[in-house]
Amino acid sequence: MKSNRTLTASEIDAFGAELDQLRHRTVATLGERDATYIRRIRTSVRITELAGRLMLFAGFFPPTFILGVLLLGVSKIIDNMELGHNVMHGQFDFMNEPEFCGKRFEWNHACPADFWRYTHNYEHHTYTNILGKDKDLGYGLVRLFPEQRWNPGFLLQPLYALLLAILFQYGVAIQHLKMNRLLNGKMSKAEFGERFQPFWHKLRHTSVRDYVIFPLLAGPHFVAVLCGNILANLIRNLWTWVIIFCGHFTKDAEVFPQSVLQNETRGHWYLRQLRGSSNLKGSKLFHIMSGNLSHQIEHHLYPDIPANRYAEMSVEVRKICAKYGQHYNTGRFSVQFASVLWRIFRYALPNRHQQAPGQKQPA
Amino acid sequence: MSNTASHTLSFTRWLSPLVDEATFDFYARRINPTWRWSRVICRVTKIEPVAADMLAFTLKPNGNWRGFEAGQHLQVYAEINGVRHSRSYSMTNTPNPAGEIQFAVKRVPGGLVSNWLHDKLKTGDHIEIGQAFGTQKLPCNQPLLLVAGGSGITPVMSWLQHLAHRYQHADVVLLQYARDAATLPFQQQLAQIAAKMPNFTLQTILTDHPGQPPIVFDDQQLTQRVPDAQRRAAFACGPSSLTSAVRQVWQARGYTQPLLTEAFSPPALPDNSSVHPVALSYSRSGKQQQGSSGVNLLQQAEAHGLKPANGCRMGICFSCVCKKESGTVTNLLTGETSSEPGEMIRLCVSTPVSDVTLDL
Ligand code: FES
Repeated sequence: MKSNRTLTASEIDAFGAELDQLRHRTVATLGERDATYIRRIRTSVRITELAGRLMLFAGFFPPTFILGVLLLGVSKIIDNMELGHNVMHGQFDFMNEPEFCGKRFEWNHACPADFWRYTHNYEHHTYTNILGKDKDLGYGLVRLFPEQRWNPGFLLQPLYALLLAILFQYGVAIQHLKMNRLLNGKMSKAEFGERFQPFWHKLRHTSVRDYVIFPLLAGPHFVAVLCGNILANLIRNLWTWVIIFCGHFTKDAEVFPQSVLQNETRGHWYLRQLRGSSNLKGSKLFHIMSGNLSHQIEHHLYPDIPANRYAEMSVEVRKICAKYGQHYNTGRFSVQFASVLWRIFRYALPNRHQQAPGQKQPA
Repeated sequence: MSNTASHTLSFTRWLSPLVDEATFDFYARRINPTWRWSRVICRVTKIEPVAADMLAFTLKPNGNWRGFEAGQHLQVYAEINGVRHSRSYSMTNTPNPAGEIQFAVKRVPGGLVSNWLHDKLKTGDHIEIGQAFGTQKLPCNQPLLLVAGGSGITPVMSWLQHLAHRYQHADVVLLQYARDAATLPFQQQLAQIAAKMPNFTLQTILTDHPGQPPIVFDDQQLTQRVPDAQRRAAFACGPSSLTSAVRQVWQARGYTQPLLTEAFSPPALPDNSSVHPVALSYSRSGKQQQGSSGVNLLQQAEAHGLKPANGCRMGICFSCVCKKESGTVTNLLTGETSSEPGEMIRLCVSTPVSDVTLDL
């Protein structure tokens, strides 16, 4: 079991200052190496997409069909995670290159990039694991922490979680529509319509491309390409869901009450990011396939630093955590994911004593 | 514009449901290095020295280039150590049947882009530029006085070639300033123009002479060199010391003829030491306001009645990213200052050090 030393105010400041210094050291060396890295990632997205689509054009012949689905799935995963997610964080803005400009980047995903920039970059990264503020905490469907209020609807949450995983790209997009606010009358129909427009456009664009145009281009192999594209999207959805749930809902991840936001210093903010996030151990390929969200802790401490730097930064972050007696939540993928599944099943049921969140630091 | 819309790539509309610009560019550039969806990529066709410290680059742009007019400028992009830098230069030629553009670059000691262009760019290489911009127009139907200092000669070259082509008999005096004979640019080209234009007079003034204070533009010099200045429309281009000297003389003499000036000033030196007033310009809304170096740009823009997008207000979410067109800012997260024109900055963690223009 983890243990976190309670830090004094000045220790928290010093902790923050050390993490800031690591940031400065890294930012000072950004350049060619990072530009080359993201271009390589882009190349791998393009090549796997082209190869995957070409293979699917060969129809249901099993070897090419299966390989085609996998390649296209991989392409979409890398596009969404290592390329899109990181670029949209502005990690490569230092290049001043319009193609990698965080504000303009658009990805191969049903969620319009602008929605994502709001719900993810702003809401999730600013209010990480704060109950009621971070909508990523179960996406309003799943209860993951004893601090969240239980209601009978959660009994079926393993099923909801599965559905969310299957339809994850739509789930992520719908999150921004804030449907619950429409339902409980807090949002006007007109405002909802305005939010809905860009979603509809993007949905139409991505669906028409994958489910109409490419199948039509395949002529007699229409059905094969259609099925292949559905499967590739499914693979992407499941994988991104798994990785994202492993980022903040593992066994030792913590949630916080909104009161932590009052007078939160930079040191406190770092501490909250650390305690709310969890890493996954794995190979270099695994890190790329998870968009370096396997370095979730580093990503939350430094969302704007190129993800290809997280691996080397993690060595130092770990040292700093050890120095201040803070638990560094990392583990094998299987173990971390099992603990997420456990939470999904466990907190479908009520717990005996409703726990108040964030009884410990940071407070 | 010379050869505009005809080049607009209509295939982009057909392709857009299938591929986006980035994907298209990825493949197109591998087939032909100048092919792009919308970006302007040029092949360098010629590089020639026009003074000891100045090179003229001739470029052949791809079909996305929308043409230019005499006296316009362009943005040149250079990727150096993974970072794309941009600088504006003036066109030194006029629209021509070959569709070529020429610009000239003076080597600035310590200058990142000018040195890169001088040392790294070779004939046959490819380079990206932006569309032509700038709308200064010289009157062509009256006698002219052109005053050019150093690389201020560049837009003047474009004007002169335009005149030599269209108005050979125009009455033009050019006062050209340079430190010494070696750095006096475009002499050969100016001689060719003089051969075509009977009423063109070139007067060169070398400013640096050992053991003497540098020679500067003043009233007396103007009287000596151009006794009929009052009948001429004037255009002065060069360092701000030169353009403001011309403007002063013009005002002192009470001239009513049009005077256009264009100053090439080095970026203001950052002064980090204290909180000081700065001028903030918002190019999109056309506002200019007095600001302070002590407050982040997001707060200041809001105080000036603008509504920039924002979220966390602490540098995490990148909602407030905005193009800084010019000026020097400090990044509060890293403590670094930067003067790079056209860079994207987070308003909430940037304070202005010099006067700043934002794309807001
Ligand atoms: S408002 Fe979030 S980065 Fe500026």
